[in-house]
Amino acid sequence: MGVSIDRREITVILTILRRDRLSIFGIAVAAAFIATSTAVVILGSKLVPYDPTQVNMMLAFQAPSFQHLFGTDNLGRDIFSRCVIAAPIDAQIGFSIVGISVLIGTVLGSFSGYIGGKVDETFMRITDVFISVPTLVLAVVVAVALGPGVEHVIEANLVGWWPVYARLARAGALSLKESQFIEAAKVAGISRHKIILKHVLPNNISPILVYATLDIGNAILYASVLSYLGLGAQPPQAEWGRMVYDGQVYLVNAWWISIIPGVVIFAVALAFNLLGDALRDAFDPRYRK
Amino acid sequence: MVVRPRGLVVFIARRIVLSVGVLFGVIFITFFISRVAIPNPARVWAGPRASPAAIAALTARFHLADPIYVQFYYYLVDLLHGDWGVSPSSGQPVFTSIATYLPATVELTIAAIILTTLIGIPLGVFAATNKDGVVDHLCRVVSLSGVASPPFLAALLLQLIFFYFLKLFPDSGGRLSISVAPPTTITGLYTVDSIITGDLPAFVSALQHLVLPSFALAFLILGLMSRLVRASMLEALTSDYVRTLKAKGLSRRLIIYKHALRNSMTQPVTALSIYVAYTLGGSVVIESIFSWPGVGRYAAQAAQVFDLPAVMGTTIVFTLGVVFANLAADILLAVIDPRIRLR
Amino acid sequence: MHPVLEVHDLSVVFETFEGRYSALNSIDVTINESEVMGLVGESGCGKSTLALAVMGLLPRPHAKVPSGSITFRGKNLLSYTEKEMEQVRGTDISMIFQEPLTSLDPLFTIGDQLSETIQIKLQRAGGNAGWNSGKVKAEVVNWMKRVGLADPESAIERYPHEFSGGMRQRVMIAMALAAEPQLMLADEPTSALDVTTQVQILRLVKSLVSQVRASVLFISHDLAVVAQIADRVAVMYAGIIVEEASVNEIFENPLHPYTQALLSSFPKEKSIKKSRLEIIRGSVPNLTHIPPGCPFHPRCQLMKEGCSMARPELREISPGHKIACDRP
Repeated sequence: MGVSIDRREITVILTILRRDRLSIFGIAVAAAFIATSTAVVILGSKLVPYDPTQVNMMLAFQAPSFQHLFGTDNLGRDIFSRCVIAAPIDAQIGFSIVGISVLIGTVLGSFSGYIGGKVDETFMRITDVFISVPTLVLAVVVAVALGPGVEHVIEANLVGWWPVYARLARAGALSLKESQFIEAAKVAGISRHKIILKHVLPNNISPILVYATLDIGNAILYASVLSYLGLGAQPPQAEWGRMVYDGQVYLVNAWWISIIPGVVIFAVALAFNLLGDALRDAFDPRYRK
Repeated sequence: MVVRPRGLVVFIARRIVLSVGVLFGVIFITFFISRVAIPNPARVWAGPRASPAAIAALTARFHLADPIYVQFYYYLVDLLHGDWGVSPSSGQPVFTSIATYLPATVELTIAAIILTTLIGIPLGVFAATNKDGVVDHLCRVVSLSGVASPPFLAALLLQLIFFYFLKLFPDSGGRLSISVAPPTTITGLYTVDSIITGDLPAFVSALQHLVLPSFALAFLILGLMSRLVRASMLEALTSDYVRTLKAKGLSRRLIIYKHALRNSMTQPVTALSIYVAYTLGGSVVIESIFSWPGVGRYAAQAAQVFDLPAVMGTTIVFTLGVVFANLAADILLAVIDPRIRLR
Repeated sequence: MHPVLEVHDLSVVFETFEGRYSALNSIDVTINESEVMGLVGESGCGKSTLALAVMGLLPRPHAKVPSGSITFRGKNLLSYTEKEMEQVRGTDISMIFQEPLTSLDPLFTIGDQLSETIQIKLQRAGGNAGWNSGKVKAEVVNWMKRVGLADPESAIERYPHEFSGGMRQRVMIAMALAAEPQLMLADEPTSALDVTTQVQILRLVKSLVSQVRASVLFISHDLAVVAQIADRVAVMYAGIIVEEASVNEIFENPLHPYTQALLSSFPKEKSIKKSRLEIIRGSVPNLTHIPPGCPFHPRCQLMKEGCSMARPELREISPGHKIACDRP
């Protein structure tokens, strides 16, 4: 289960990724997403064709066309520009949730799995509790308790997110515990902490990385649902989930206002899922041959 | 098939004890968040423009000045007495509201899971028996779309297409058409109650309204179930016992549907609590879009106005739901697999 | 003597990632009525492949049959469609396998699984006239008794995991013989069992098979096991048959160098203290790289130049005794 990465492996992985059409789509969209988000952070509104906050009732409810790729909303704002501007928020939320969960979960899980015994038992019960609550509902309750704001959305999701990585890391630690080179390290007298951090952790990285890639898509989905519900980013800040909610009311006559941001969310989440799938296949020893 | 009662009872009893532990943990977490994670909870609850007297009243009512374990004690006592607080936004006791809305969500969740099973199992079986064929690719597409789809997208698209464009369904909101009266309440599930009381118009109307939202929910978990069935089926078809069955001269149909299928059910059934978790989570959005008067919609409306007691009540109920699903899965597994119940 | 199964010039090739390899190379084998034919050889020599080929259970995309015929009751099984083979399996030709622990469906009682076989037999014999579930159950219990399962009435309500490996193998034998097939293929059925159980199972098979009047192809890597049950023995090496004779002939007068080496590499009962165990030098060739000519020649003490050129044919040296060697 634990496979360490070196340069040769990276070449193999890249070769496999290049072969599958779907994974190319995944890489392309994910890369576009990250690039766009970064560009928006640096360049701001200068990046987009129209001012995303500009209200112009004359232009309201225009269907998608060459001038307005995604159409305009009820206040005459260009939806394409708003979608682009909103990208970094979900990028920030998605990567933060997954990144921090990986850190916390992997460390805790590795320690628990390696140490074993009562500590491990207790830890398992604790993660059981978190896993029994529907993650979305847990995130909602914490976000409501903490109040509006993007940081609170991140924190709220973290609560339900880290146990999965803890379990993954724990499983990996359990299987590595008996292996030869860990025995060697123990005999050499290396302290337990060092063993876990320097030997156990790095060798478990690949299944966790694969899952984390898939998971970024999920995190973005959850972020969008929370902002759909009115938590997280507050208007007039543009955010995809929020745009869907605001546009629902006009569904019959101007479907693009809510559907298109929804499709954008779908495309980004799908991209990360495909990427994660491709990575998983690439790491699978059976595929390599 | 042989069932030995005693083993089964012990097994279930153990699982119930574990579940109570989990529930306790969840209650503690929600409590912890609401009291400790935010400073000055009384001020937040009373609202931005509350008077000092109102804040003081809240502080006394919830023992906020006392040590944390005392607070938790009173909290538990309240919970068990059915006092789950009052929702500031609706003014109604949380417990009563949730009790009112619960049957609707139960009906929707069950419908979604039935739908998922009816579609997901055949899909997974055909994908496995025709590996790399059309159905297999369809299975992969469905599963990817379901996983990546925000719950509101499927719901909105379904509404748009089937209600507005194709005009296939009478009216989009609620559980019944306006002109139809609800059946006499026995279980609270309109479809079941109308069958029991022989109320045909109510049954038809309830079913019509159930279709779109349960499809939207089923879409979220369909991919997962079919993928699990597919993977288990592939494993079963290459197993030693299937080789024996072929050597016995059993027809392909019997091998697949009598033997391999049953052996493939372990993973999909174990995932029941995951299906329920995703369905309940998704119901928050989907009930709102379809104006379905359930706990999900209640939670969504409460979340929008940062109504904490209501949302906490929902969390507890939904966790109960997942715990029940876990138990149900364990019982089902014990029925399917004799090795489990005879341990 | 009527032949039940005639395998002629059979070759089987596997296409894998590592390359194409030849599991069977122009095999000729004949099994007669009521005869137990032992098929002996080291692991990987192709013995199981032969059995799977007869049953039509070769792994479809990888395995190809470039030549040969398998004649059973006058027809070539290789020309059968899958549906036709289905009709043959279980009732005309049956098979038991090596791994009793995983060869039974864990979710059904052994009574259920045995009655499946009996019901198939009834269907194919032409309608279930007069047979109800009570009669089927009685037949099931009867067979359980015949294979030596204690307390058959309650045993049939139990599940496979409640039984030991030896008992599960008895169930498998019952399933294989309950339809009274003409031929039973046994692929290392005792290899996973302890020695005492082995002896019991072998005795059971021998007696049941003669009651039912079936022929058996008994595959094993263990000559000692084969000696206890077979009438005739065929010795296999790297996809070809190197020697075929009656069981007595093989043990008293082995002619092929490989057979001789096999026999000398385990202690004979009489001189157990005096005989030295001779190890056959070298190892079984990887089937993707079979040596040219006689596949055994690199390890053979009698090898001369011609042995690496042409593959020796299986010829009858004395009545009923065939070998594939150019040397003696």
